[in-house]
Amino acid sequence: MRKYCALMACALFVSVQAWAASAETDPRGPVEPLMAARDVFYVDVQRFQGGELTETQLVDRIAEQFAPLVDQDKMALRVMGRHARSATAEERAQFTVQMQASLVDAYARGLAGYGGEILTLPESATILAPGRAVVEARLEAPRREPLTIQFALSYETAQGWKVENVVVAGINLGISLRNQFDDLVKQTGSVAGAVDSWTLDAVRSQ
Amino acid sequence: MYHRSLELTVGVFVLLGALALGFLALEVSGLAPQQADGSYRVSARFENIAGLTARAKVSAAGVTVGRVVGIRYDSGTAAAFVDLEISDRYRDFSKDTTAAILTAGLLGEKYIGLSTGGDPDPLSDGDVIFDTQSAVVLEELIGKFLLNMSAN
Repeated sequence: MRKYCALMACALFVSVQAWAASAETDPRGPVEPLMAARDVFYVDVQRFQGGELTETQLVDRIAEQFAPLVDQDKMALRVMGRHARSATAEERAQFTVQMQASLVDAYARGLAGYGGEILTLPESATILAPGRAVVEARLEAPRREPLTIQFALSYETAQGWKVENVVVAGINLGISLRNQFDDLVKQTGSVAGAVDSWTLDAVRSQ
Repeated sequence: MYHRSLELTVGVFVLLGALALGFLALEVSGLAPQQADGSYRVSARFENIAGLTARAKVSAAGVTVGRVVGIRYDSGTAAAFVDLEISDRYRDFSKDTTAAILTAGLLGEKYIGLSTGGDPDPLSDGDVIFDTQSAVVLEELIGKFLLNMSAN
């Protein structure tokens, strides 16, 4: 009986490992959560335009859909850059919350200027290495040059594929935000000051 | 006698001038021999390296921490992989370090700027930096500007 249980455990372990390995290299894996969020967004926008949702409800819905796509902790560390080392655990946690709030703010403002743009996603992502992928999307709008958007994703067994950075028309948003955080630290004189004053407006005014 | 010492002085002066020029050329081109201390290698993936060459500087906070030792094209991902050799003295770059192709001055040489992140794990030999900012290509910028102008 013990032998049988050990054999079962081994088989289970091997199959979980194999599944994780295939999930890390499946080129469709990184695209699926992005497609799902995009499709829900289009439905929500139609409901908003039809009067079923208020603007606040729509922003909340978008935040609900998009927030789980992003690895907030990793992104916050990335934006804090070298200052993350001197920051306390509380400051890092507070910044994660502040950054998420500024992202929701960005969704809301983006929504206000939504003019029927179409986000075209490819069928599969480019797997750079096991657990690392890039999805090359295009934002198309009438009478405008399409905008290339690259989503950089990483895979964690417990969380699945998560967006960790976005490059818009060649501009790396992670690096731009890191530079802006660095400027805020210089301006306020401390990491705590930069964390406290981190809002979308503060970032834009840099 | 006087002529001979004058010729000798001029000869020495010319030789020193040539040596100084040679030293300057080596330093500016980055071909100067490096101190033989330990180093580790990482790669960085860029969409476009426009003008970056082997032996270009790798710097962090304005300090030269290494050199570009190789550049290759990956046909699978249609991207450029740049191999960087970083001095062992700089072992504290984090796993989420970013790399950007920068230009010294307006028309100066291209070099790579590293910016360390907040990940507690350090960058180690053989790692690949995927989070990068590619070089700005002037022709592409002008093209985008003209297209936007015509759209408006």
